[in-house]
Amino acid sequence: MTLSRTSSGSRWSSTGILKKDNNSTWFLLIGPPFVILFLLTAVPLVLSLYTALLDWNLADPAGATFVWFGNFVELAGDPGFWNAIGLTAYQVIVTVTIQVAFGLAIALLLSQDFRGAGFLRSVYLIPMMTTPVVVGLLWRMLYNTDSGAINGALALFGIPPVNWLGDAALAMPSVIAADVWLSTPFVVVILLAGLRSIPSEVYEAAQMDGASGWGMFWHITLPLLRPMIMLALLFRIMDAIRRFDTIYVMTGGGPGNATETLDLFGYFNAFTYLEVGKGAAVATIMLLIIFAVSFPILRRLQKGE
Amino acid sequence: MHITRKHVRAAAMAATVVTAVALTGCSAQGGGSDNAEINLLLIETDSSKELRDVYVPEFTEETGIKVNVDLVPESGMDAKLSLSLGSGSNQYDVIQAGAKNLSTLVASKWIQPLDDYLDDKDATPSSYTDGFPEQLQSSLKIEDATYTMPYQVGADLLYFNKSMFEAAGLDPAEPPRTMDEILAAAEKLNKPDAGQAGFVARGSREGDANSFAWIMMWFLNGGRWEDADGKPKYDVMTEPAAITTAEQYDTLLSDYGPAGVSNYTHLEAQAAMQQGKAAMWLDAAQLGPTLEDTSQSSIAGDVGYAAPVGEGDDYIVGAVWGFSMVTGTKNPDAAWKLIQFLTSKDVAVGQAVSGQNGSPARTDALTDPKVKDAYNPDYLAAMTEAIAHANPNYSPIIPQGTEIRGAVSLALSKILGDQADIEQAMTEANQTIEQLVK
Repeated sequence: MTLSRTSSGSRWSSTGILKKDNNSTWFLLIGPPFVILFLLTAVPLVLSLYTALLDWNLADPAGATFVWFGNFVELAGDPGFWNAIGLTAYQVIVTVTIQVAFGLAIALLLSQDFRGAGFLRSVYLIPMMTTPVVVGLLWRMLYNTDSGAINGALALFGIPPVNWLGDAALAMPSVIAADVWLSTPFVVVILLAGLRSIPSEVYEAAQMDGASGWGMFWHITLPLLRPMIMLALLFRIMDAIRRFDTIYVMTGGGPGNATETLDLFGYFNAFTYLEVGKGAAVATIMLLIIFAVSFPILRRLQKGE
Repeated sequence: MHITRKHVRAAAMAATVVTAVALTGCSAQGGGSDNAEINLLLIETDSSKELRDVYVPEFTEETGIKVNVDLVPESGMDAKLSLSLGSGSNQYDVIQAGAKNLSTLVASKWIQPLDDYLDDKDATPSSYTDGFPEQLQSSLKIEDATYTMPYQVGADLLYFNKSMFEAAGLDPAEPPRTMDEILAAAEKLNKPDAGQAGFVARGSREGDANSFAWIMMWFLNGGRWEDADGKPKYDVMTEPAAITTAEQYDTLLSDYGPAGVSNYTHLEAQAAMQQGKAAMWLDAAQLGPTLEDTSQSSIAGDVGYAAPVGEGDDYIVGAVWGFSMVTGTKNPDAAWKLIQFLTSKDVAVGQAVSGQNGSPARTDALTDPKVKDAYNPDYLAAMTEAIAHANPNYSPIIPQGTEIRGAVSLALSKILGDQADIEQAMTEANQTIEQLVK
């Protein structure tokens, strides 16, 4: 159903979208939700930025002191912060690379028409529909040293139990594997949509010209799919930087601080140690990092490259 | 101005709203504590659920005071307390909090002293106060003031599997009690090829679980958050007692513990004992009764109990949970009545018999015949001895207390996860603490 008004035709276009030239109605309808959403974003953001400039421990009766960039200076000298930065970079790069590579491979497979393809496409969506906290608990059980299914399977081959989440060297790869399982379907969905929008005539013409399968993938599929890959990268990178729930549930940042990414580091400071100023400073740095990483991708997407 | 019907209608509505608000105010202001409505924050456990479902309704029936109960998981407690009390919103009148929370609550003046009520003979019968162990009451005082009435005491006990002791040639009637004896017994009891760990305790950093277990051992080794003169001292992680304890903790868990012990909270440690996978377990007393529950435990009837022995007189970690009155409560009389009720002998006996609170903070409840009939006498004897040496100040009583515990937990987790050696991890923790308290 469209919202077209046929009598005057002045307010609604033929597609039902309000014409912008009727300013008062346009502002009346668009204005309130825009203002509400803007305030709900802008006010907490400004408050958070201001909090980042305070030395404020909630448990300290002395209250907050304005320290300008004192929290940022303190963070720069904190080895725990740099450890969190390094772990976040490692986690984001490895997770997103694997997800895009696996996502592309699975999308290429599922874009083919074969018996059961529709069923498989639905099955691959299941992890994406599961709540991250539940996924974290599920993987925590799978990784359990004594009674987990993974060690149970290894035991069949005589391999002794592995302490997946308790060994500092294995903990981060283990949580990365869980996120690959959780979020690769998202990449599959985006790339599948991109693959199915490529006209089959392009491939038919290439085949007539004698192009090989690899040549078609390299010279047709990848270039035409690039905007969708960029889109998947944009979403996945932003999501991976602020990944919290699954890691918190699976390891709580441990063992030691082997999986304490920036988000967990900020959370512990703000809500466990009640250093809300320092926690807000970490959140501000995360925001800047997300901006810095996503802005170039966004620009390239807008330019249609 | 022309007054239309619309104006009259609006004025009438406004008057109705104002009157309703005023009347509501009158009823809240004018009623005594018997008609009061108060809000109670509980930490989500089986015992607190029973308080909510059974005892709080009983209290309302007896007093006419309506109580709204909010249950929060222990892991979210710190954030909940800081956000609700820190904002000064008067969201709660009475809160359940642990001795570990007192550092934050008292330093930030979020809870108030209860001494005026305790000294008032009309408000507080002496039979109420006499039921608490004297040592516990005095050690819970902060600057000579009482801020919490104890409800549950998590004094640490050593639980052991009697059959495993006999199989290893150890006498269950003479269990190990000092740290050296526990280490020696763990070595004998450890049989990894048979799927039997010699010892189990909390190893996870989650909720500072590992530092809780470590502090139990550290207290036994003479470690304290004060120097010899009783003056607070927090950067003590490189002192001999702390280093020795870290070595013993690492040996007990890494060498004699189950394979995944670095992820163990009290739940996994408890399960390892219940399933007969571990021979000894050092943990809080209130967790003991589940080992005797035949529906959950394969070792029921085969459990031994010992109160550990350490240096000094107050060497047992008294993980006390109690009830405190929030500063600025509008119903202090009603709040005090509720605190008294929740920490009364009747509730303590009732919950001990039902099995929901196996370690009440009241001596008169532990000696009650009904409780004696309901529990293993060895358990009651060990717990009574442990409570007599309980020290609730196991977390630093300063605003940075939680952060200091966090630094110790991080160091222990690094040690168990082979991320750092003992000296390095404890030195790092000490440097963090120095920064926090400077």
